[in-house]
Amino acid sequence: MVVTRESRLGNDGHEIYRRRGGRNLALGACLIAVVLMIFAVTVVKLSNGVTIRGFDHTFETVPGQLVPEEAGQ
Amino acid sequence: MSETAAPLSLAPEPEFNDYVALMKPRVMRLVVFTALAGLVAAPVAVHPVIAVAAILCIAVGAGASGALNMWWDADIDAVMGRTTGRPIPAGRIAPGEALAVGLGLSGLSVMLLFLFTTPLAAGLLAFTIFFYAVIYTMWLKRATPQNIVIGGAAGAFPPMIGWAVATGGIALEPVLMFALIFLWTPPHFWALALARNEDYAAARVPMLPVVAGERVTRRHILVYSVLTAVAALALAVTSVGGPVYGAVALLLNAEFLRRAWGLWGRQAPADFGAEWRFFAFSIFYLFAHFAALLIEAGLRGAQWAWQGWPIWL
Repeated sequence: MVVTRESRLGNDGHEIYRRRGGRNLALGACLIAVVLMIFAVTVVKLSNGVTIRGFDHTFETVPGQLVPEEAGQ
Repeated sequence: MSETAAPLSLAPEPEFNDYVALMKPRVMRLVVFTALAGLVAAPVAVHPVIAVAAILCIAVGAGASGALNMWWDADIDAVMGRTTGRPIPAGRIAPGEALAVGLGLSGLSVMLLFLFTTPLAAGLLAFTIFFYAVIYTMWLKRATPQNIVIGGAAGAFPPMIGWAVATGGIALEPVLMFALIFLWTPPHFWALALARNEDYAAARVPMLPVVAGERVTRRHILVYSVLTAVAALALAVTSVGGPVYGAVALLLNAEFLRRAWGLWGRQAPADFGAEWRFFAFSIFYLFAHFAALLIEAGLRGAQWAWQGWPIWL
């Protein structure tokens, strides 16, 4: 028996696509929530003074020469 | 997609709710609650955003280990009446997909908890998942009647993880919270196992009533209930305790022991009403203890804590 695309859409197709759609929407919402969570944590950590500038991104030629007062700013 | 008669209905088409069921939401609820209590009771304040993110990671990690458990246990879940409706035995999620969800979310939750909080918290979460999925589910559950005792450790870790999120370390208080859940788990599940003995026997899971009989199980319930009460009352005189927790612990443990004593005295009862009620009460018991810890933390935060409360431990 050959099931054509039309007959599949016409019969059980609707039901399964509706369920898939609902699931994909919910999974999409979860992904967005994870992205927002990571963004929020990043903002909090940065505003709490986590080291933003690594020592490999300074103008110093000798690592460790950056004075503590400056590093703390 | 093939145009021929590929049977559309053979491959399961899970709905979102099936993924939720895969993560054991009721266990997750307890995990969220106890992890939050451990986090809030700790002496170091955590930024609310970090706290929420950390609790989410712990919850997802616990859910992932639930999914791995369901993947491994699909064969016995199909036999037991209580679990035949789970997504895999019901045919709504393919086993391979459950495994993928479990492994994927395990890795993600541990990684994010590591980035958000402390290495110890992430390490404890990873160990908890490993302990529940591998040591308990794959190894001990079907091998020994002490399965519940050891498996309880997995459920006991969340308050310790919460504490580690806040402080980066471990102290006596989270160890006692661990002990409370760890010792509470056996009487809680053995009461269920007494009422559902045929189920576990049919699935060949060596639960204590199946292997050692009712008498021994009732004695075990009583002994573990006493030990649980000791841990619960010890918490009252640590830095996380206080009058509210002390009163709650005193009342609930008296009732807990009274019921355990009652179960011990029963012999081959006509129905298992008392066992079911003990099971239900034990859930309330644990929730109430951690709710009291949250209240104490709130009182301390608001500077309303009573300074005269004895801290002996």
